[in-house]
Amino acid sequence: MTKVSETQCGFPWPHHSLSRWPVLLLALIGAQMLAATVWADPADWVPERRRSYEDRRPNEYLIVPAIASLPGIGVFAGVISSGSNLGDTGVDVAATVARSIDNTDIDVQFIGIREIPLIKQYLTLEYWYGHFRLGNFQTYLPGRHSPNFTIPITAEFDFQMLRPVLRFWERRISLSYSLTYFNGFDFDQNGNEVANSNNGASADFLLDLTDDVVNATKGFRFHYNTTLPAPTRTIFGRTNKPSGIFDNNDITVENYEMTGYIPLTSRWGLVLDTQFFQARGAEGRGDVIAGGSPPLRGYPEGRWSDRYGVFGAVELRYTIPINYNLDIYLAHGLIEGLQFALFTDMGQVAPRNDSSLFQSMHHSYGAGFRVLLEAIVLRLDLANSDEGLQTHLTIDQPF
Amino acid sequence: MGLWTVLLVAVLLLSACGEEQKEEGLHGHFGPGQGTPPAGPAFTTIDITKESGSVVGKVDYDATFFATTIPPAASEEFGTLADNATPPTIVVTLIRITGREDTPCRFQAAVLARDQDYDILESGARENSHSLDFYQVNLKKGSQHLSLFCATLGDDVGTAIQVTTQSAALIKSSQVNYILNTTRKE
Repeated sequence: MTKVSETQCGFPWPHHSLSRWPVLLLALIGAQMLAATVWADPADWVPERRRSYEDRRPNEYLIVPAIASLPGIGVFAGVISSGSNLGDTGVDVAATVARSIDNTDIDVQFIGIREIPLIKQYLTLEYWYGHFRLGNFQTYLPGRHSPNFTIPITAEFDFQMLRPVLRFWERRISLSYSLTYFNGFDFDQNGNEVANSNNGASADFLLDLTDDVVNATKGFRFHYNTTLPAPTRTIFGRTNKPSGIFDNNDITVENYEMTGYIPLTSRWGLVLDTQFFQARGAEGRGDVIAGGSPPLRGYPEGRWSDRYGVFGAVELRYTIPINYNLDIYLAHGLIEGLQFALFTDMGQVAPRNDSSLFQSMHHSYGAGFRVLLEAIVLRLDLANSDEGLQTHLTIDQPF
Repeated sequence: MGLWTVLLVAVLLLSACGEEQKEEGLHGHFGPGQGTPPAGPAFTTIDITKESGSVVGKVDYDATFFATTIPPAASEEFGTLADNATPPTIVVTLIRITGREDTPCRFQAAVLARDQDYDILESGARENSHSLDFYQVNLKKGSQHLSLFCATLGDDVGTAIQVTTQSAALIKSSQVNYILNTTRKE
C-alpha cells in the first residue's frame, strides 16, 4: 500500500522571508493614508473611538433559532445565541446548541464566556468549552494540491480554551495568552482515526487603531498570533499522542493579519484585509504541515491548508443607520444599523514561501447582510467559488 | 408580527448549502467478476488480524494465479500478491485499517490524487457475497488503474485491499472479485 503523508485533523486550533508581503503591507498602509488624507483629517490615523466598549448597554442579547449552514460542517438546526454585558457585569456570553439535519449527523454544544473582569478595563478572562460529535463530517486533505474529494469523519471531541487578555489605551492594544486542550482524535498515516489528546498554547497581539471594536468603519488593525510550546499537563488534562501522530510542539505557527477600514461616504465603506501564515519547524519532512487555512468564504472551512498561506479580501459595505430598539422574546438591544456587503476573497497555500503562493490563486466572491447591534453583529454571507456556493451564518464581522 | 420580527425570521431561514460528499458512481454487489472463475488447485487464506494478533477475518485468493507473494513490509500489512508475469500485470496489497470503511479508502485516494497525480474516477459503497460492506474508490494515472476496497471486519478493525493493474478489465476480474467475495468475518 502506498505510504501516505501524515496529516493533522486540522483543528485549528529563522528565515522570515515575507517576500511580497511587505508590498501588500505598504499598499494597505498607503490606501489608508490616502483615505485619511483625502477624506479625513490626518489626525484620524488614530481615530477617536465612536464609543467605549466598557460602556455598552447591559443585557443586549440575540437568540437565533436557525437552520444554518456552515461550510464544511453541515446544515444545523438549533440555537445560536449571544449576550453582551449580562447583568451589567461586563461579561459576554455566546452559546450554541445544534444538531445537524442533513446526513452529516453532527451534535454541537458550545459556550464561550468572555470579558470576565479580573482587573477592570485592563485584564479579563475568557473561557470556551465545546463538545462536538461528528457522525459524518466531511473534511479535506491538507496541501496545495488537495483534491476536491472529502474524507468522512466519525468522532467525538471536546475543546477547551482559557485566555487572559490584557488591554490598554481604550482597547487599542491587546495582549493575550491562550491555553487550549483538544481531546478527541487524529489521523495516522493510513487515514485511520486514533484517539488523541493535546494541550496547546498561543499568544496574540492586536493593535486596533479603528473607531470601534465591534464594527469598525475607519482605521487600521494589525493582528499577530503565534503558537507557543505547550505544557504536556494542564488543568484540562494531559497530552496523549499515540505513536504515528505528529508532535505539534516541533512546529511554530504564526499568523499575521492587517485590515484597513476606509470610509468612502457616511454610509459606504471599504474594507481591505490581508493575512499571511507560516508554520516553522520540522523542515525537511515530507509530510504536509498545515500552518493554517485562508478564510475563503466561497470554500468550506479548512478547504485549503499547507505550511504557508496568503489571503486577501476587499469588501464594500453599505450601512443604513436604524437605531431601533428591539425588544422581543428572541432579541433585546439597539439595532444600530443594517449593513449590506459585496466582497471578493482570494488566497493560496504552498509548502514553500515563494512565488507559488501567488500562482493559481483561489477566488471567491459574494454578498452579505449584517444586523448591527451595539456589541453583536449577526452576519449572513453567501459566497461563490469554483467549488460551489457556501453560506455563513454567524455572529461577528469577518474582519 | 412586527417588521423587525419578520426581518429576523427571514434572516434565519436559509437554504441548505453545506458541503456534501461528491456524487458516487459505484454501488451494489461485486458479483462473480469477469473472465474464468478461479479454479485453483491452490487456494490460500490470509488472516486479517488486530495489532495484538487476534484474528478478526479471513481473505482467500487463488495461489495458482497469484503465484508471487511478498511478505508484509510493515506491521500493518498482511501481504502483497502478484501474478507470475514479468512485470506483474496485477498487484494486490492488503493492509490493516481501523474504524469505518470509507474513511481510510477516501483518505488514501485523496493522498494518491494529491501526491501522485492520480485522478479519482468514482467511489461508492459495495457489498460482497458474505453481506460484508465495502467501500471502493477507483483511480487512474495514465495507463495505470488502481482501486481501493476497504472493509471493517470486527472490533473496529478491517482491511484495505489495493489492486493495481494496467488493465481496467482486471479490476473487475473474477480473480479480484474472488478475493473480495471471500473476505469474511471470523
